[in-house]
Amino acid sequence: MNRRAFVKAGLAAAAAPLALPLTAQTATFTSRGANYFTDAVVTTHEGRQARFYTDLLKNRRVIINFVFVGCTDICDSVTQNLVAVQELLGDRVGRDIFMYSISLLPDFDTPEVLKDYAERFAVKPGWSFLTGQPAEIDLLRWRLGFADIDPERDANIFEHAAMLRIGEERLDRWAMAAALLAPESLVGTINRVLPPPRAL
Amino acid sequence: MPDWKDKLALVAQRNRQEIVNAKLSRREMMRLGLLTSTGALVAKSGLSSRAFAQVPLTPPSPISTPWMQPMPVLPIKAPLSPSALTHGHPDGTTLIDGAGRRINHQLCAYDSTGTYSGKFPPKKFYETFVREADWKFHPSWGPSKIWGFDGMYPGPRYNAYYGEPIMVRFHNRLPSRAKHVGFGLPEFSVHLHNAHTPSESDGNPVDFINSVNDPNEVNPLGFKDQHYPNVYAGYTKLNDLRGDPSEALSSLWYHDHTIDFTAQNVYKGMVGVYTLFDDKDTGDETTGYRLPSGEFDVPIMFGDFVFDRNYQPVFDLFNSDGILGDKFCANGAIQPYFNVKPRRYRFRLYNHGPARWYDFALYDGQKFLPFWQISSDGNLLPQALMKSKVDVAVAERVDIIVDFGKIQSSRVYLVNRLEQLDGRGPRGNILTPGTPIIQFNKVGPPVRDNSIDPMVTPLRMRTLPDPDFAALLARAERAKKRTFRFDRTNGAWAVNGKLFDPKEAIARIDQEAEEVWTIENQDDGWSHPVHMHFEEHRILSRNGKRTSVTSSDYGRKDTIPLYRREAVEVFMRFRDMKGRYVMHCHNVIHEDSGMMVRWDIV
Ligand SMILES: [Cu+2]
Repeated sequence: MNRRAFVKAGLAAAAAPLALPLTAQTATFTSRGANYFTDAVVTTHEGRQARFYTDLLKNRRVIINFVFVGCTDICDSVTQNLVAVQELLGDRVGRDIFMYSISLLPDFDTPEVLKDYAERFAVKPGWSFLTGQPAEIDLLRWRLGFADIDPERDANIFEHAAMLRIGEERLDRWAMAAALLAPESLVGTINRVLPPPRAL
Repeated sequence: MPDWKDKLALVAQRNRQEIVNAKLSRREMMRLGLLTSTGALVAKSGLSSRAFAQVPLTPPSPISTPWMQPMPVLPIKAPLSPSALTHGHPDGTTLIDGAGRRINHQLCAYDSTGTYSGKFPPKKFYETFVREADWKFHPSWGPSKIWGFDGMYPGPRYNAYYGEPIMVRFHNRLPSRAKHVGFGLPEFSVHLHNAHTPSESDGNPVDFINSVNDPNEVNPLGFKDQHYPNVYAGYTKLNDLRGDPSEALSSLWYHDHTIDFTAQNVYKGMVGVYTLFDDKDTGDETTGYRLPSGEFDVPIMFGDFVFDRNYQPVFDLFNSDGILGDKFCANGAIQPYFNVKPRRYRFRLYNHGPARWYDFALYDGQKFLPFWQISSDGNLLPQALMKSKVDVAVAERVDIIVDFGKIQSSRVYLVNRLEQLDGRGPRGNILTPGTPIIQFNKVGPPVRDNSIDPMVTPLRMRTLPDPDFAALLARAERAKKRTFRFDRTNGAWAVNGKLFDPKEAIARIDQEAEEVWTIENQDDGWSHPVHMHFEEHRILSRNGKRTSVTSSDYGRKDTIPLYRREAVEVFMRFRDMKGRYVMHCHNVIHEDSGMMVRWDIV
């Protein structure tokens, strides 16, 4: 029985939870905010403009990866894998989880190119491909931790195409996962970091 | 006046771009020490984290005057009667797979008459509450929030004995995961590092449990029972339920191991000490090996942190290299003093990381002082070795004997001589004198000391299980071989090019088999402290060179410091138990980013 089924069956309630008062107050958290994540203006594959932090990250649960259209092997495998993940997450995507694939080659990946790409993979709503100013996107890449300490490796954009950042901005809860894990395993990780909202 | 100082202090995480954005002049940057005369940006104190090329400067921690507080001595955990445990006596089962499944303990059982049976029925019972608490890292600071066993960082010390199995109930009383903000996930899976433990009690990364403060989760009572048989490896072949005493372990530790969040949770404070005794290492200095005992047997856990202006630990959530701190703690206190009597002490040195490598030495202000190394990874050596420094990579342990009776100076410092600038590991630069972490003050008149003086009587301890190295090599030749490459692939930490998948066992090994594993690091940028669960191994060779008797690789190990471009050949055994286990990099940030493999004993 999985966690959801367990809850659905009402077993969780039957097992008489013993909720204890918190002994210590939670530390106050100052949001990283736009200071950290930047409010770089990005354009989606649908041609909409958005500020990265304010419009796309704030109070949202997100799955973020980096991608570029010219990269056929790894990026396409990752995108294909994420299509399966989107399928498994169902209508949660666009509702309580947003998926962002940010271009590693923003000069080439124009919104039109990205639109083509998204259509090629039959990407559904709730998943946006993003492009923008190269310097700003590069900063974003560093801020989100898709970087290598070795400048030579860092310059190899293929090195940044196989990881996923999973997080919830409001809680400052962030994890990383391998983008090419089996979709079921990935969804397991996603559900752990971003548990599905429960109908009570 | 330009507010460049404020600009620098305000933003929590920064990189070169930010400094550029702050519009600092070269002169201002030089004044701040951000720029060398050649124009290269230098890493300041604080988290030395992401790329040097784009230095993310975390502001340094608040000022803390050293030697203002005594080093805490870890309290010894007291057992309870099984019926006194919260939620009642252990019932012979435990939770695995995110508490989604309940199974029987492999090696002990409970029956309806109220008795424990099986191979290793527990003789003592404990319970511990993992909770958020206020912790004072320094007397002049405000409190910091930690997550600790019994609300302490480090957690309490368990004194355990071979032949005396125990059961520990771990209660998750951490904040609700729906409300907790910041690093750390309030779920855990406790691993007892280097114990010979049945899989379901080993703290496998997927065997985490939720908090009682999340009553709608799958485990509303929020606890898990873990069974520690405290048995020497090898009892199956010997058919005696005792095992091979030369496999005895002594300085173990426990810590969270939950999948994807180990580094964050360990940095939150979820670590503690577990010491194992037997009829040789007795805990009584008048018997057995006669090692310094009681108040003179002192485990010390080292950890490094960065703190923000409100004294809260800072964890760079977007760093997958390995984070370093600018404050060094010993048993949860920043640069404490420790008053000692003029006699011998056994110090058990633990490095809980998350990413710092140490080289410890004793310094009296003028020179480095000799001491005795008596263990490697907490396993007592065949004989004491006189040393002037000891390397301790993340997760490694070294026990040392220091004779303050023979030291002239009344004040001695434990220093870290190893320079490390980023998560990649040390570059081999040895500092003189290094960073002082503990100040030892010799106080009072001479006191009774029944421990052996290794200067007078050679201290002979555990013989190795395979004392004949040539015979071991011959056995190794016949054993099955496997190779594990620890490397970086597509921006993530990997083993053999793959990232950790808890569903996939990369090796299925017959119980009682012997194998030779080659652990490789082809990357010249990084070092990895590689840890294998379950049994101690022997290092056969490093880079093709056979292990020599005088090398620190000689002896039983559970963690291999794997430096750049190295290949280490180890002899592995898989005795007595079945189930799933892991091997991983113990730079826990690497572990969380994929550098771990699951292997099963079948
Ligand atoms: Cu590593």
